[in-house]
Amino acid sequence: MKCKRYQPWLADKALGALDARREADLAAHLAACSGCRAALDREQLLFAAIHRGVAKSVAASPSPEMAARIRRQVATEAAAAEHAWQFGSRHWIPVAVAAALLIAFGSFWLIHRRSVELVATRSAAAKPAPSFGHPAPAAGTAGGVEPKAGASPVKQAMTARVATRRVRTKVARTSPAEPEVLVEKDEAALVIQLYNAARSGRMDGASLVAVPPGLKRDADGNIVPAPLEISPLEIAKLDSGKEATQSEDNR
Amino acid sequence: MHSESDMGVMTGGLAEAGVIPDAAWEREFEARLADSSTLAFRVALGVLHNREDAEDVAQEAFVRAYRSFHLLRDRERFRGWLARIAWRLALDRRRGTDRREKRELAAFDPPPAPTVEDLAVSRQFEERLERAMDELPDKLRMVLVLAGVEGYDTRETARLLSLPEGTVKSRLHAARKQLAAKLRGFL
Repeated sequence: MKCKRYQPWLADKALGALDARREADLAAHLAACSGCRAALDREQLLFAAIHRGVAKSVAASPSPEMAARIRRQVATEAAAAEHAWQFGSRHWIPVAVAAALLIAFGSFWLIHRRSVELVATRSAAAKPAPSFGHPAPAAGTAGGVEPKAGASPVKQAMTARVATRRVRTKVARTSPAEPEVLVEKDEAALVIQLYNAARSGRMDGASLVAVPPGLKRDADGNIVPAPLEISPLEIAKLDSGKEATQSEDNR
Repeated sequence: MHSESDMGVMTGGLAEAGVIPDAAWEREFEARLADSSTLAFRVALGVLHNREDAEDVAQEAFVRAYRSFHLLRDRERFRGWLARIAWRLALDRRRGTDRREKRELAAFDPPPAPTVEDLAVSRQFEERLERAMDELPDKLRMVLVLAGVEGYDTRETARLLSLPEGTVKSRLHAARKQLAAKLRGFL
């Protein structure tokens, strides 16, 4: 029965991993038990065989060809990497040059376009704008927008563009097109006659002003307040019983 | 233990990484090759038990290490890094293709002057041992293989795997006990 207790310890004993207390206990048992001593010998033999077998399984050395194969493969990879880098560099140079040229031409085109617009705007602003009772502003001061002295060409061009837009707006508002007037059907002829008379100067505009209620014209034609006329207050007499009854019914 | 990402290596070529190895790179890698090629081979052999397969894996491990050589800042840890690459590649190869039937049983160095019976027994034991090793968990098996490599004691194994020495000792002990449990009936 005692041997069963010690058998699990034999492996640790053979591996040299048994703690001190059990070591002493097992040693006392082994001194008196030949069976456990034989079992320990077998365990030690087994672990020695395992150790040798494991060591043997990894004790072989690679062939010299292995290092040569590694060198060849590594050299191939290095050459491929260098070739790829060189090809990549050559490939990127024309792309970079093309991109730089594109940016340069684009910038030149934009600047040139701005300059042309600036010249055209200044020429247009120098011409007198058509006047319909509103004098056109002088060039460079249209709409009260005046480019500051010493401003950059781009800013001057933008100011001129704003001024041009405002002049065009005023021109549109003072268009000489005939006015449209909505009148009653039977008053159209009268209105046209009145319009023609006022436009030709044969009629004084002041005489066209209608006299509002509560005003009147004096002898010189001026409009003056009319005297206030108040009619006397009329109060009905409350002497009829019938009317009183009606009043109550109304309530 | 290093994480999987720490063990990661470039699978693409140097060209994809935009790396151009210079002369110093080449010299340093050549020194590493002379120093660590046997280690990579033996680690792979401990998994594959086949010389040709182990050489293929060691070669692949070195090429991958070469691609990622610039990423390993602490080049003193190169050996542990290479061992883990070889270990992982060997496991992948073993899982990918079943070559047990094609193993070269005579690939190992023969023991000194064995008898026919001893050789037969030894081969049987080796086969049983290899099968038992293959059935070990990866953590235990890697420690066992590295500790079995000549010149690698517990401390060296712990340094290679970036593990505490006590952890390596306990894993090594557990691995040997598990092997003994499977081989005890053989003797």
